[in-house]
Amino acid sequence: MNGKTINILLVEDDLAHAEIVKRNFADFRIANDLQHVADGQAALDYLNRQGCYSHLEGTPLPRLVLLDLRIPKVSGLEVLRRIKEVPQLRNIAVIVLTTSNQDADITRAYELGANSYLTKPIGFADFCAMLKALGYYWLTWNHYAA
Amino acid sequence: MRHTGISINPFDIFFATPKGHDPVLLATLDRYLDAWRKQENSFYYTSYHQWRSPSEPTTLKRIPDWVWKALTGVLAVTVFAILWIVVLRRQVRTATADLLRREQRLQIIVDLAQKETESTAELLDYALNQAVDLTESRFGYIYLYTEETRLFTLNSWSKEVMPACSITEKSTIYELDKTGLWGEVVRQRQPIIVNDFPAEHPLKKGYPEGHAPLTRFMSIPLFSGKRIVAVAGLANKAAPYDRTDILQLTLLLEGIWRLVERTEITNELRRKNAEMERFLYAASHDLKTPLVTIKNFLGFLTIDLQAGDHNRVIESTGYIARAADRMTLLLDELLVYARIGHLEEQVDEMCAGDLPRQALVELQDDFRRRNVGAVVTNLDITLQGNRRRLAEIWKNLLKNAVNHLGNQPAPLIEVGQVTIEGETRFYVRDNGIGIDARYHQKIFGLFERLEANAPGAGLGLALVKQVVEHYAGRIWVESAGDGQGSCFWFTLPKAVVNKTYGEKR
Repeated sequence: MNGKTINILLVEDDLAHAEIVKRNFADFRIANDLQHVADGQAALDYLNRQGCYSHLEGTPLPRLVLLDLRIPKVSGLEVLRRIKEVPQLRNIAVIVLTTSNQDADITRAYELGANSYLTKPIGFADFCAMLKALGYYWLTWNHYAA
Repeated sequence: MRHTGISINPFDIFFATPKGHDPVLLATLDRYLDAWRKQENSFYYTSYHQWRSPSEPTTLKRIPDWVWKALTGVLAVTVFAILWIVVLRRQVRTATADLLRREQRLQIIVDLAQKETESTAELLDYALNQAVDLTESRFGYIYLYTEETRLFTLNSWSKEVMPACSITEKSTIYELDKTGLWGEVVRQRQPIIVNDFPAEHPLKKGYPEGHAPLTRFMSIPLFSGKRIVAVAGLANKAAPYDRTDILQLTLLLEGIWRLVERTEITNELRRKNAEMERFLYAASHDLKTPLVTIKNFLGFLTIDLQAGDHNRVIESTGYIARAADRMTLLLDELLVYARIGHLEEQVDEMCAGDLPRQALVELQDDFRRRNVGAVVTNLDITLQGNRRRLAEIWKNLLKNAVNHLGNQPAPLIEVGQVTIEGETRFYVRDNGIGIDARYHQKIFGLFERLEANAPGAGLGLALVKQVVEHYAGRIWVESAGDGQGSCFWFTLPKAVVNKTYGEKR
């Protein structure tokens, strides 16, 4: 355990799914560190501290991005590509969290530098178990680049 | 002989001696002669009488008849043999030329079959240039023809026509009823040949100023089954056009057309497959999303009920209800989308303006709620196609417009048509939130939405695009960006009939 709070960016267009993630992460008592955006362009603006997020200039960037693939404006894969090509953003862990389990998407995501690929389970118990495991691994044990 | 000017008496014989010499010998010879003249069986007597007798002047045969007959026979055989050889040589020459042309034609088709081309236009373009060479013409054209709309669409002009032709803006679409001589192949449904083009012709309407001058001209209709699908024309061969040229062009184009049809079917299949894949991908994601929500909030609901957390129970049921609504919407839109591709190709004729007017009636509640002004202007062109399918275009564009008005205080949606460069373009314009240039392409994709909580399933514009492309049209959007309103433009070449609705053709 590194004891630090970890900023998370959740990129998810479906408000209900975002709520599911927030509720599960609330049990970790770190929900305060979770920022939610609903489309690809907003995600890029947030990470690059531009547009309506320019006031965040200088504040710490998220360490972890939970990224849905089918999102409005800029697709998830494109967001991933742009994160991984920018030196300041490259070290952010990007976890794809989507309903697609297509081989093409999985392969492409890893090619673009995704750190993990998870599909949303339909069942409540599975989704909770997965989010908890994700929380333990990425929020408790994983070390991030400084 | 006796009719000639010179009289010859070959059998009067006289003897002579030098004067005073041998009178005895002379007398003896005369005596013998005299005796021969009287003696009936002497050679002299018979010969003399034969020649002098007027009753039978030609009893003596100079050349026998059989010689004449034989000669005539030989002569006849010789003449016949020469004629036969000439004819045979001509036949061999024609047959050789025919075989060569057939081989050339086959070669062209084989070449084309091996060519990996995806465009019909390219195939026909190639065929045209080959036909020009094959018939030794100077130039030619191929127009595609649609029997339903009675319209010609230019596919290609051979390369030589351009330098001779100073028409810069050549029309690409012609109506059958406005064509002159070259439309005759469709009206008569058979090939035509005009070998003295400059002469007066009752069907000729004259070609436009600057058109390449024509000397000879031929044209054929190209049939697919009983329908005319294209017309091809060739012009300015040095020698007159004849049946062979018609045969050449017909056989070549029929061969090519089979390839064209095959290519089109392959392309269509490829397109459908790709579309199906995209559709399945998008549908599986978008249908799964509400399902995940429903199952998970049912889980939360159980926990909330056990904990007696009343507020969370209401919150959870709200998420479940919205997800179920969204699922219903998705399924409804998916059904419309899937069905529209498989509508029968019935042909209704309608006024374009009726379709948005009908959609406005269907959407009147939405329009009234937002107090939207709607204007349908100058939309009176005739459309031919499936009415239900065409109606989806305006219905979805209007629904899209009314859903994206933002907080515009005086919302206005305009619908109309303009003709630019002979092409009829339709538009649906609003003064709503507008669309950033970055998303002008993306919005037409399946299940694409620009706002996470926008109403609709994101199928409307994809459906419009599908219908527009079904009628060989294109769709695009013009918008200066956020808050600047949007204008959706589209064309429907295969549905537009170039006349005002109700007007006689």
